[in-house]
Amino acid sequence: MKKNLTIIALACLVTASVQAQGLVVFSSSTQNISTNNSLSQLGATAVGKTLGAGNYNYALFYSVAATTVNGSATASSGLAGNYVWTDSNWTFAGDYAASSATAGRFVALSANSDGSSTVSGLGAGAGAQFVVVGWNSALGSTISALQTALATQGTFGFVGESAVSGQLIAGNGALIPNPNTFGGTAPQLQAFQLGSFLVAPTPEPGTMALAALGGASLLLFRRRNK
Amino acid sequence: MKLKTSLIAAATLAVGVISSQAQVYSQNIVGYVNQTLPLGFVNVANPLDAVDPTTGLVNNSITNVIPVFSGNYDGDAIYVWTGHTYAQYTIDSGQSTGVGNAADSAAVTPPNIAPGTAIFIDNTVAGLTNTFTGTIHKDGAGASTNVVGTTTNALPLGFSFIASKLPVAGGISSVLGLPADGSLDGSAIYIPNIVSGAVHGFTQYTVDSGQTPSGFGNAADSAEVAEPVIPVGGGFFIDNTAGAENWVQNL
Repeated sequence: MKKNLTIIALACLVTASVQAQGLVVFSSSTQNISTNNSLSQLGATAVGKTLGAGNYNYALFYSVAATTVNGSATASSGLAGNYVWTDSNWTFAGDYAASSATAGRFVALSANSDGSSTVSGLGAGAGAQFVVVGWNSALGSTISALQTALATQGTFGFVGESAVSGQLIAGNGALIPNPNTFGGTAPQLQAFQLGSFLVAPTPEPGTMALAALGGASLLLFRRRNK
Repeated sequence: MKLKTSLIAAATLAVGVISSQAQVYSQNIVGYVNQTLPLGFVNVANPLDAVDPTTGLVNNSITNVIPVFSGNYDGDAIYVWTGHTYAQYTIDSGQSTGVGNAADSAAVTPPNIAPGTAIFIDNTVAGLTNTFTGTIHKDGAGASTNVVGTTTNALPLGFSFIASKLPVAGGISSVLGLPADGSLDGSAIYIPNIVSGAVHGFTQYTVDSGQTPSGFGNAADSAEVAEPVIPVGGGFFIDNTAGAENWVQNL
């Protein structure tokens, strides 16, 4: 009888481990996120640690196999950044975070009661690499809004991506502990920077045609005057 | 696990108080244990009763077990088993209590890590060695002059993350004294498999007094295996399916 109970308990434990979604703690903890403002359009926006609760948003991505984003494992920022959504090996974990009142830090927007965040599509006990993308909240609250903003002329703000983490084993809310995504050393993610950017306005074809027409009119006007 | 432990060889019998009425020895054995903390997850058990530097009394708050306000441990995560999951904390000398919640977004009351309790530390700082200092824990006086005292670790039904209350290493039953008389038969022991700083599952044993000579079977209890060996400052999970039991150790 005791053995049967043990087997049932173990089966439940193993089943829970296999079927449960993986859990991580999605916060920057003691690692500070900073900004690098080189744009007049951003005015006196602080350079250094991010400031203000809710002023910056963050999204968590993971990959079971990839250890780079398009061949690079280093952090990037600004308009020319090497962003994770351009590499099909990476998956959005379904988790967003926002800057907290403590300078440089962020916390998950929808954490579980134990402080963990569920990594959508990653099994508990499975290993994966993680990448975090951050941006100022004026650009939108979702990754798709950020992508739209980055493709819209005249948009300016901050955006950046962390380096690729080492492998973290997702917790299961039971025996396997939920790892912090950020920490002082690998395999965890470390502090990274959001770089300022401006999507330069390029004249539309209609505007170009009008300008050409105006130029031609001026030339004609000069000839007639001569 | 890279666990270097040095227990002071000649523990000082600092205080020897003999009660003339009860004729019972009450001796506090003072010592220290050094434990290196490799990067990543480490299975840690406080091997000594810590002393509050202000009051001089036993106080096993993690702030007395680990120097959290030194800043050297900032960012490390602490996982304390609650019976079905972990309560997670972050060591952060910038928090008023020295300890933040899992997200480190607010200060929380530091957890108590008494001897006999195992925890995980996710260490993010290279080259750390923690020195546990204090007295050897006792729950009761010795029954005779050659037994200084006893310790008792309660083993309730279900999962517990526990450790020896005494700073000794060795076979889980033959040296540490986990009951091997059949009272825990059918229960499972889980030893964390920590590889490159990550918890890659557990090695599982079954307590079975019928498996001779060790008293332990493999996960399926289909074959006898050597008993697990636990280092000083290390812990293990037990899933007690047999019934509430006490793990008594003598020193």
